[in-house]
This record gives sequence, C-alpha cells and structure tokens, in this order.
Amino acid sequence: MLRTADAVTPMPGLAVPLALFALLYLGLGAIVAVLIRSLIRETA
Amino acid sequence: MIDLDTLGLPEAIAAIIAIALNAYVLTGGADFGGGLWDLIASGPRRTLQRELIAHSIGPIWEANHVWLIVVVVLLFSAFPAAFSTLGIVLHIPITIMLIGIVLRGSAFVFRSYGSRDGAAQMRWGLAFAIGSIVTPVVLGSIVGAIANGAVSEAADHVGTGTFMAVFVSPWLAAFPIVVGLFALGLFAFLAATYLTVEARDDAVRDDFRRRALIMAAIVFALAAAALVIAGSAAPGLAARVIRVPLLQAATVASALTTVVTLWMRRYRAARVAAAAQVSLILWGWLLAQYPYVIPPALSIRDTAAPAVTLKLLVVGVGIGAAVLLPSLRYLFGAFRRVS
Repeated sequence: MLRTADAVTPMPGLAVPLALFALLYLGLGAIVAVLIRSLIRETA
Repeated sequence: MIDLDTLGLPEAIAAIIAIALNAYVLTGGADFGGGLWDLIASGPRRTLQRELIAHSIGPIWEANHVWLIVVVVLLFSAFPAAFSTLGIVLHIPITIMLIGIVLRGSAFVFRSYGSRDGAAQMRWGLAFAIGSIVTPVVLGSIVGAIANGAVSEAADHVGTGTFMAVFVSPWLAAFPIVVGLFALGLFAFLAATYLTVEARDDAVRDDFRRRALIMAAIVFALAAAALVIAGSAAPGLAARVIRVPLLQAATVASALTTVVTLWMRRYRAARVAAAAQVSLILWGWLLAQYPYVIPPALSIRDTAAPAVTLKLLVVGVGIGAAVLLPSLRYLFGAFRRVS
C-alpha cells in the first residue's frame, strides 16, 4: 500500500506550483469566458 | 559499441521513446522555432512573415504534442524509477516547460480568435513568442542536466542537500543553459528551413532562407560552445560523444548538405537535410549516453518495469500506433487539401 502522503515528491514548497497552476487555469478560464462572450455579441 | 546480445524488451521500448522524441523535435520543435521568428519578424514583410508562420503552425500544432505525451507515458510506464528521479530533481524546469506549453498554445488561439484590436493582438503575440522561446531553452537545459550527470548526482542528495544544490543547480548551470540555447537555435533553424518550403511569396521565402542560413551559423557556434564547456563540465559526455564517429560524420554531412541546398535554393532538399541533421544530433546524444537513461547511475535495465508490464506496453503501443498514425496522416492530409 502506498499512501498519497508517502508518494508525494520530496521537493519542499509544493504550495508554490499548486498556486501557480491554480492561478494559470483560473486566468485562462476567465479569458476564455470573456472571449466567448465577445464572440457571441459579435455574431448576435 | 552496442552489444546486440544485450538487447531486449527494455531496449526496444527505449528505442520507441527515442523515435517518439525524434518525431516531437521535428514537428513540435519547428512550431517552437516559428514562435521565435514571429517575435523577431521585421522589415517591410513582417506581417506576411507572421501570417505565413500562423498559417504553417495552423490548427495542427496541438497534434504535434501527442509525441511528447507518448514519451512521458512510456517513460513512467516502462522506466518508473527514472521517471521518479526526473520528476523530483527536475520539478522546477518541468513545471516551467508545462506552463510555457500551455501559455504558448492559449496565446496562439486567443490571438487567432480573440479581439482584432492591435494592442490585444500584440499582447497575445508577445505571450506566444515568450512561451515559444522559454520552453525549448528549458527543455534543452533538462537534456543538458541529464547528459552531464548533474541529475544523477543531485538525486543522491535529495533530503540531505540544499534546495539550490538539488533542485536548481543541476539545470541552471553553464552547460545545461548552453544546451538549452542550442535547442532553441536548432528549432529556429528547423522552422526557418520548413518555412522556405511553405512560403508562396518569393520575397518571404528569401527572408526565411536568409534566416535559416544565419541560424545554421549560430547553431554551429552554440554546438562548439557546448563541446568546449562539456570538456570541463561534462568530460564523460564529451568522451562518449566521440565514441560514435560514424554518426557524428553523418551529422556534419547533413549540416553541410542543408547549407549548400539552402544556398542553391533547393528548398525541399534542404528541408529533408535539416530534419536529418536535427535527428542525428538527437540520436548522437541518446547513443552517447546508452545504456543509461540517467547517466552515470540509472541504466535502461536498472530502471525497467517488470517484464509483464513491458510486454503489455508493447501491445498497447501497437494498438495505439494503429490508431494514431493513420489519424495523423488523415489530419495532415485534410489541412493540406484545405490550404
């Protein structure tokens, strides 16, 4: 049995990449939402 | 150099990984190179140059990343111990590379389908170009850190060494950075050579011919710099590169052929020669470090998964290839007909 806590990378400071990827995808999600909205407006 | 009696399933899967990596370098690598040319597009034809790059990368660039996915999946399935070491020591550059790939792709799509406003176009173009430049440099520095034994050494100090010594110094040193710049140069050279074939306008074609020739000289200088630095930073690697003389001779011959054919404006021949040159450089590195996945400690045999996993993997690769290869052929054919 290999627990998640035992399998995690030993590199310290994993909160940094977690926050980076969360911000990246939140930002991309927001941009996609804005772009889709403007595309709908243009075609409406 | 390679004892045929020692070859088996682990070596066969390692060869499949090498072939997939080769395909990624020739397709995805050229896409990254296109990003550099997009950034430094200049002169009266800069808009035409950017349009050609966007048209050539087109909607199929995403498909090229399938080769990187094949490499990653085969590596963690067939050589889990090597994958674990790479994932731990190279966590930071792999993260930067992933962010670069995501940002680059997103910026390309946002520029193509987003606002036509000039400032927005420029902003996405800049994000696309930065992602296209940073990603190959980091990819090359990962290769440099593996090749000169820094990853292997750092892996021995996980838990005892400092953060800098284990997670930063292996890839952020002179040799890996020069290899990173060399990778960027190779991708830009490949892209410029491909674009001479794709161009429909003679003046734009000449622009990329000139850039390909300049980049060939830069690549040569970076290769020489890497070899000089390897003399002190990676003496083992420099000695192993020399032990495959036929391959090195073929690399030099293909490099000369590319330059001569570009000079003579034989663009299709130059494209073949450039692809051969880049492939031979890749195989030169891989054979120089054979039989190690991560020299000088972790060999193909040391890190291979159990035989039953490898056998199932070969079956999986066969089925995957039967689906993937005709699909890619259809995709490329479809967009070629459209354009």
